[in-house]
Amino acid sequence: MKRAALVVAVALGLAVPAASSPTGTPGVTPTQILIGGTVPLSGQASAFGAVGPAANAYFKYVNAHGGVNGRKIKYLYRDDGYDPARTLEETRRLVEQDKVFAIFNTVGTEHTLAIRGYLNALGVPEVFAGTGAAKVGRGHKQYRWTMGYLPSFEGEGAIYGHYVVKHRPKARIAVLYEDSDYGKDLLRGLKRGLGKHAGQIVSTASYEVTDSGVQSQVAHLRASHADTFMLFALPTFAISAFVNAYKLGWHPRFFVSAVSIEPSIMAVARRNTGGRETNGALSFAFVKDPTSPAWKKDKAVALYKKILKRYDPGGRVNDVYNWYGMTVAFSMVDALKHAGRNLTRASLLRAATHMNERNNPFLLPGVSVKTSPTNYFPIAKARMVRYQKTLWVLFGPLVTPR
Amino acid sequence: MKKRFRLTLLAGAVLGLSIAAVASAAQARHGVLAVKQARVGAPTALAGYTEIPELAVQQASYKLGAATNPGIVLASDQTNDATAKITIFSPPGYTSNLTQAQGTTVGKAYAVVKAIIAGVPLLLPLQGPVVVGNPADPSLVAAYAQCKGPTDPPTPQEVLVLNTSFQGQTISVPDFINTAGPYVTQEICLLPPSQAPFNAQLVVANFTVNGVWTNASTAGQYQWVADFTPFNGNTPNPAETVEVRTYVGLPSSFTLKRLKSKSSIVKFSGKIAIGGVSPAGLQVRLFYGLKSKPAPNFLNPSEAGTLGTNGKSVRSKALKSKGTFAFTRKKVKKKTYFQARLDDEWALSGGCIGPSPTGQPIPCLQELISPMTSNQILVKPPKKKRKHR
Repeated sequence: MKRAALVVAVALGLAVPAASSPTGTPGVTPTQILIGGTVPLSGQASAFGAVGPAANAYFKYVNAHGGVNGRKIKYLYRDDGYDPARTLEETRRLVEQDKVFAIFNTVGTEHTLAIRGYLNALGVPEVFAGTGAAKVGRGHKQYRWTMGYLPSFEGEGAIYGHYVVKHRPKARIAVLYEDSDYGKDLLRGLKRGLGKHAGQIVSTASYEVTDSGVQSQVAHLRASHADTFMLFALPTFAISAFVNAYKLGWHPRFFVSAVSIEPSIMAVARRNTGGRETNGALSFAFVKDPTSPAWKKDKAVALYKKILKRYDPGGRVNDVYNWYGMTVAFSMVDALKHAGRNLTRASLLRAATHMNERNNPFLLPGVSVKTSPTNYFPIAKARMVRYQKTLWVLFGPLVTPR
Repeated sequence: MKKRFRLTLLAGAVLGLSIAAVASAAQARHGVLAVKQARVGAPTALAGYTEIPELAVQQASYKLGAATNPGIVLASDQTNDATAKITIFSPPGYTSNLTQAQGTTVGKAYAVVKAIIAGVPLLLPLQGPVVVGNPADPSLVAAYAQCKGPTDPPTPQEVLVLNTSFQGQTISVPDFINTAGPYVTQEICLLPPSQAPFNAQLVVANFTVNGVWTNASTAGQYQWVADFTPFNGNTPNPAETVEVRTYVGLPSSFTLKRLKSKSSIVKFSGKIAIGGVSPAGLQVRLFYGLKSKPAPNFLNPSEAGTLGTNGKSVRSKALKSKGTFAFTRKKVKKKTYFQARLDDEWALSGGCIGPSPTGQPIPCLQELISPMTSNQILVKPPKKKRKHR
């Protein structure tokens, strides 16, 4: 009887549920895993948009080498214009119309938070989102299906605080931060890292991502006569802050949030300030920089260039967001592998919360991806970098952004 | 434009500097043209282009009948009105192939635009490939309708798209190519800054086009011509169109050799020969740096290639009529690359040759000598002598 029903179904051209996914998991067939996500291909944060095509290029490379447990990965990435309302709209489309298996690599903190409730209600995994916000990383008790990928923003701020205490103990600190969880986490972390030196923050100013510029904020901060400028801002606002400070004749030591240190961003800031503001700027990094001579002969750089050339020919080799896209795609492939042949949303979540990935070639040596059901910050190590003339140069030991 | 002048211009610290026409009345004698250094800081009397725009074409080869594969530089000072249209005429006598397959990458582009980012006016570098486009693409059809001249065919024979981008936002600039009598014309139309991404206004563009042109097969004097039309507000202002040119003498050559010398110094000699031009009075620069390709090279559109940021330079003495030059430098302490360059800072002292290919009385402001970059020589530090005890 069962066999007869199956024959009828095949004759009618009906899809047969994947033999390897007895639960009929959406987006999973015997030959394909369909995942989706949103990236800002337009708007104020379009710099981050490259992470979508680059991750897709890595998946194509993996597919060309047999895929994951015999299945090819199909990645649908949609433009949300860095608008959380559109993130939700596009994510709903991906889940309800395209029937994706999981949401991957959502870019932005507010964007991740905008879809978190929806996805957790449905039990759809939202893995390796481009955020290091505490609300995401520490929200796993309530939202176990949502995991970020970036090091903790708060931890990053704390590292800058520790550095100032140790190396610039008399610093007078000004802070420009985005009025969002991203910016506030960094500021909170900075205060924690400064500890009893937190009073050395002499001025703070915030901006909204919808603001047209930060001229007035920089002028306000300059008036504090600070000699240290914490720039917790997205790339375009970071450039604007560098240039405005230069035009005001203010030359503090800059600390730049890691999301804005892409070399072409720094090159624009450098060119428009004669290098005066950018030289000596500090930040931290957890991935290798493919533009740096330090990694010129690195196998990962060769692989990256090969993949980009073959599967994303429009992508710029020097764009570190492309590199990041491949980094996070590597971890996704790893998670899918460990989720097993009987791939379900629950098995992916189990794999994502038991990561111990030490072989991601795109990460800095010593940096690994490690998670547990109570640790939703996959990247737990990083290193400080200093901008010297035209390049970020690593220095110091591994640090723990917690 | 001299490297340092271009960098100065890009830095925005322009003290009335620009390349300028050479106003000398001296004429070519005995069929050999004389040259003079293009003076900077000479403003024009024009409203649209208060500083003279630039066309500099460096060819991959200056041999007769060889593939031209030019590196084209178009520049206009940021204090000028924004440019609405640039029409480039290739030299008559050059042959062309306008049948590349759509989607083929035929070169690369690097540009610097004046832009507004998060409320701040600044100079923005852009780069990307040059790709053969589909003339039937609706966006290119619409762009061509806006750009084409009255005598152009309804559909361009070929369209190249300069796909430059920054922060994921692409600025695609179509370059429509047609044959027009003995010329192959390239028409590039730009948006007014108020309508362009990042409010971009072109300052410098350097792009290569491979596989289209072949040098003439007979020796002689050739020229690339560009007509620049500025905007007046958001409207093109044809009345303010100006012409600038690049002179190419075929055949030409440029070589650099290292000579034997004592270990405390490094000696170079070289020779430059430009068809139809006396090199007397020219000066070449010796570029040196720890990075490869220290000299500017418009065949490599990039920050280093276009702006020459990989090296420093010293200038030769004025060359004599044989075009030979020599440099002596102290021994190097690290592996150092040397390269000589005839920069885009020399112009015909007699002014432009002949009338405008448009047939219109467009003022020709200068005719630069085609810039050339020599071969590169890597010099290693001398080996230390072992002391025998």
